[in-house]
Amino acid sequence: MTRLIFAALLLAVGFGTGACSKSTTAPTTTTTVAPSSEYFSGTLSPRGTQFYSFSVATAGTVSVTLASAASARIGPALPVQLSIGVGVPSGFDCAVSTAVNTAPGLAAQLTTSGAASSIYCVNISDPGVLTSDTLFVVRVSHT
Amino acid sequence: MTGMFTTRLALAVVCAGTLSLAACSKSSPSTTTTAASPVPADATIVENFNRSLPLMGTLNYAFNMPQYGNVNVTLSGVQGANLPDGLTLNVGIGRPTGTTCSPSVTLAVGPGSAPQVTGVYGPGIYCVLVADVGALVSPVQVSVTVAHS
Repeated sequence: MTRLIFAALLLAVGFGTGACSKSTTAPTTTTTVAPSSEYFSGTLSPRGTQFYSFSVATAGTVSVTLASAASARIGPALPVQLSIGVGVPSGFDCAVSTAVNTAPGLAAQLTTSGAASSIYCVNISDPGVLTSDTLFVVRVSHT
Repeated sequence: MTGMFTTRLALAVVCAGTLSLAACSKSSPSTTTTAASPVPADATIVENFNRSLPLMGTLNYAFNMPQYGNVNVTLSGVQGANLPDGLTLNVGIGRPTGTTCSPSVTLAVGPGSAPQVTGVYGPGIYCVLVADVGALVSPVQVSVTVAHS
């Protein structure tokens, strides 16, 4: 009889302890933020510079594409190499931290990874190849 | 006899289970925690700019706030020909967006020595906007002081 009582008590204690144990295994979730695109267009004068500010909401990669350069809205693209860069707005300028000279194309010519959540700018400038005002379109893709 | 035993056994089981559950419950001490209010840092970094403002034009000046603190903007001077009496320009503080500055606060102010537009902001990149909304009759030279933390 004593054994029976002892067994019953063990069962009761075990049940009570088991009931209060908490499972702390957190579910594994992976959040992927799809990049969004912004378009920056304007007219670049010979030796001129323009920039465009954008906000990175989630740390990630910034890709910049010089999509087109042309002397008129309708007409052939100009095969000129312009400078595009990424930096942070500072004063009246964009303080460029990385840049590349490139001709217009369909694929991103400049990519920077590890951009933290903040405000950045994309800069376009003529390194000395333009002889007249030029229309441009730049696509900025970021998270 | 059997009935008494059954009753005692049931009582023992209930007591043991209750004690076991009570033992695992965590009793946290009653404490009251008040989050400390952050004190905005003083505006000790001073930047000045002096630029020409065209008719109906806008100036956007970006600056970096390393920490949470005060921003004080002073339109310290407006110089030019044929300045109208009581001239005011729109002065604001905001965020660089696209090719402009999107202000969160804008005031029509005249030049003076004391800050006309102030605010408290977190760390990040901000901008000062100075714009003519129709008061000018010719381009002017504006002088602005931006003090921030």
